[in-house]
Amino acid sequence: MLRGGSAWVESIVTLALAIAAMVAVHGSPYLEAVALLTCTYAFIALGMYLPFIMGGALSMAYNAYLGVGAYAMALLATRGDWDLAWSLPIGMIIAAATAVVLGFATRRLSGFYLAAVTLLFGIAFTTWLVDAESVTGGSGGLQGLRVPVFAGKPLSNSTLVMLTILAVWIVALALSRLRNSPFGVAVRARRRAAIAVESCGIPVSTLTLVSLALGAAVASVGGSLFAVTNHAIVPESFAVDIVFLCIFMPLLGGQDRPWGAVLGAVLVVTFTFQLTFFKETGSLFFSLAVLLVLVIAPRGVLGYVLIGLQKLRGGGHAKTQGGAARNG
Amino acid sequence: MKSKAFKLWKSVAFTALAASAVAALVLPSVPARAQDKSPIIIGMLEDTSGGASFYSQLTAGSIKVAIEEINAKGGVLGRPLKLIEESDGNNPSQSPALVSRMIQNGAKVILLNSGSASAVASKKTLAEQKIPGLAPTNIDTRIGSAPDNEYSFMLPNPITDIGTIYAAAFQKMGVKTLGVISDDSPTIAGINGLLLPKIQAAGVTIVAQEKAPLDANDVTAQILRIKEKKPDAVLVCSLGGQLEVLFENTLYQQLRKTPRFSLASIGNQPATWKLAQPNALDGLVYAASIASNNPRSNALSKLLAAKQGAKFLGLTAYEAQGYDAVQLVKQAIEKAGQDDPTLIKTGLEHLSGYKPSFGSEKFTITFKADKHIGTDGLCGLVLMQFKGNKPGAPFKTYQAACD
Amino acid sequence: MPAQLFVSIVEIGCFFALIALGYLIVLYGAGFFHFALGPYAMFSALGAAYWVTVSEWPLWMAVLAGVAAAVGLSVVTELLVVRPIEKRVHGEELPSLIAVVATLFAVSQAGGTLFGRKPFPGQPWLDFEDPIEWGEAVIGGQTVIIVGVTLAIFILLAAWLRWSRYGQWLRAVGENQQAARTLGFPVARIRLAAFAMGGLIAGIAGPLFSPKAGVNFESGLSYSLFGFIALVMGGTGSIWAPLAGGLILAALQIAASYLFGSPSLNYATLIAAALFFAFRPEGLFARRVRH
Repeated sequence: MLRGGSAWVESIVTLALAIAAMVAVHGSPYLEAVALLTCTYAFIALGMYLPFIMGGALSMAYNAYLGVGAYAMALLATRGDWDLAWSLPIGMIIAAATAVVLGFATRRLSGFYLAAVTLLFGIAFTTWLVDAESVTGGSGGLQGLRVPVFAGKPLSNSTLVMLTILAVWIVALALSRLRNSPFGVAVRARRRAAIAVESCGIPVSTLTLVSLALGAAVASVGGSLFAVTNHAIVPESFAVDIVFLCIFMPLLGGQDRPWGAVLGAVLVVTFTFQLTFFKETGSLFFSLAVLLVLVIAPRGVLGYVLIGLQKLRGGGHAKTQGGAARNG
Repeated sequence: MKSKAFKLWKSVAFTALAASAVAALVLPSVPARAQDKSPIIIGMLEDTSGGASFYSQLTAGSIKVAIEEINAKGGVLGRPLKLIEESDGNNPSQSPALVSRMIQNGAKVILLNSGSASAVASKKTLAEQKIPGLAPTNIDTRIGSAPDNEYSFMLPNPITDIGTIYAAAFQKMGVKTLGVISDDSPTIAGINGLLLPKIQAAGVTIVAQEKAPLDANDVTAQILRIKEKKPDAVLVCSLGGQLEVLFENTLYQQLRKTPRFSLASIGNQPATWKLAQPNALDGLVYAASIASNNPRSNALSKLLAAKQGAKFLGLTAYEAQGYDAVQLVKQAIEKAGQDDPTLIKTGLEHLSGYKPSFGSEKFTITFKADKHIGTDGLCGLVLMQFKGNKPGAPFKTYQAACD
Repeated sequence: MPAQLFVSIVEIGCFFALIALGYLIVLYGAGFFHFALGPYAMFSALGAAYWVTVSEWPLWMAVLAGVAAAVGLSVVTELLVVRPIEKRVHGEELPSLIAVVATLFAVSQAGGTLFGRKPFPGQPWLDFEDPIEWGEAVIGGQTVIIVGVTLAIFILLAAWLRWSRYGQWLRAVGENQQAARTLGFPVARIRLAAFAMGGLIAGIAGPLFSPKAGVNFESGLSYSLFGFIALVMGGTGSIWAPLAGGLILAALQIAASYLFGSPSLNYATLIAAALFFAFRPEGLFARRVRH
């Protein structure tokens, strides 16, 4: 549990890191592009964090939520004057609705069956993107998206970067607070003991649906961001293999806090994109790192960093949250 | 229970990992050491793994040979050319970021050697950062056309030219109905959007249009659906490679007597011919770009055979256009007098009457401020026909009027 | 439906059936859905293609090496990934699922790194100069091989399960590892045998099927997924159930493509899977409990 004092520390430390990131990338178009890509992944990872890491509900249809956010944003951008202020929520609502429908249809499934069906849904979604040419532009996608407008003014790239980093910080902080709220506790308990949760009068399936919907909405923001930064989107960008990254980011970064998901996003972009030494083998190293984490270091990078910090502060034998690896 | 020491070690290791990851993300890559003759950097966007890799790597090979040759003769303006590469896997969403990275690393010109869709996606980035980009082999007309084409150029005959030639050929053959089978790549989608209307405008009705995903392992259903509509001819619109071999195998099995046409794909990818079933390519007509009467084609063919040995399977449009692109960039830099990107772009726009190593003998390439598609006329294209699984002779029924 | 489509259904159905058979064996012996079988098949196929094309090995050697690689990967997965995680979580399904999904991804990436990311053509085991014509349908050499090898594997495996010691143990252990251990079965060795056998089947299936349309490092995901659906549709009640499941899934996909166009393949699979999972999760051939 977070004591009052450490909640403030968490907010301030992470805000400082966010501001440092903004300063570091300012002025370089390439670093700004990397920052935007990292934020896109961060939103996806945070979207996974709530239902999956906290609630243990694995849905592998995340490429669909991403795609919904991206295409909603792109269609509104190419069909008329649009403003981020109202086109963003539209994507979030559609994504949330999709998650609820899918979650409801699969509520009796679990484990491998759930994974298989949601994966098939993700594949069907990409197929539909290619198939429904009149709506989605087919395999050519949507091109020539205009410069985004926010609150009436056109958005420059630098402003976009700063707003996005800030948004990631806000969402992660909100999830961190949510984690310790009654809702969050119920979601985490559902993962371990659904019966106990039901006996407290909280219907488990409603809980799951709400967490899935929230997760999908957050992920769709990542998709919308992707459309805004790229001026063009194609169905290939939303293929199911992005689902793997979605799952692995929070795992590698650290399950204990939402900040682990953000760290996971940074690691993914570093491994697979930035480190030219690795070139194309970055993904391989990344996946091996994930396996390593799963087998011997379940708390992820952030988990062990926090333990290290605690030891430095002389925390001694402070019992870590829940002890075991599966705690969200 | 793990020991405390182990846990502490893990904490240190992970903290170091996290810190270095963040640092690697933010610190720029190490700049090249300053030399007396610092190289002029050319960036190449390519595809080493996706649907365009079949041809991208052919072009890359001859680009590298051209650069080697130029450097051996003293470089450009006394400075060597240096090539840096990034692969976008034929995913156009990644292209802008990769182009940005090459510019960040000092590239003054970008060679767009991935799929057409990647080149189209890069236009805006090039215009915004004012770096000229030249697509040696992409045929999507949009690359050289407005909007946002101030800094993007394309070398080959655009797909609209192929449309013109095929429309005329169909008219001559009396083809009234056409079946089309395509793959689902963004590049082909863009190409079909420009090609099919041109064919339809010439009076041909498209009675069947089928698609197959790039990783399809069976296309019998699609081909049978086309067969049922009994078209006069079939057109295969594909990036080439494995999938087009599958298309051609199945078409040969099911629609042997129907005339078949391809774009500029499988005909220009010699490595795929032996993958087809015996005789499956017989009679297939495609748009080639190498004419037997062009002395520069023959010279380049000899050069590549010498440099690449057994790997070289015969000159195709891809290698010729890659080589020519480098020569054009060299001339543009020389016109500019220095490696300033905007001056290089202006230099490109003043290149006129360049004689390329593809197309027929008198065929030329010209760029102007309002002409970013290099070809002067249709004679960069030659319709060829397969005999067995190897290219036979030029298509007897129709050729674009050339000298 | 035209006769040629039935040839396609048989080819694809046999491939799904083999992957599903691999799933079944691992399910019998370890109570575990081995989601990573698809990439093992891919790795074997891609490796074989690479070694023939680039290293210029003879075909039989390349295929054997591919099969060995698949078996090795499967065994390593059990020893280094599945067993340690199952020991740690005692029955919670989610961590094992994540781990095997991570393995799926890792093996795919490993294939791409080792053999390159470009698609490779498969190498036919048998090539007819003049394919067999059967009515309107054309049957090539590899089709005959696919059917023959599939039937051979099923028959041999059925015999192995019935008459060999490990085979009989495998059928006995099934999902109740605890009871088996109490009864004195060498559970660890049986699990290993199951994983090895699953890898063997996948390792053969990959190069068998890749001559049809080639293989690339990302093929493993759909192999795994469709093999799993085929298993569920067929059920776990009989060693021949995966064959039924594979043929049914292939028939469904091809019929949908033919009748409604290529995209409906994925829509139809999704709907069929959802219906089967919801209404008949035990599949067509359910395991009957003997008293």
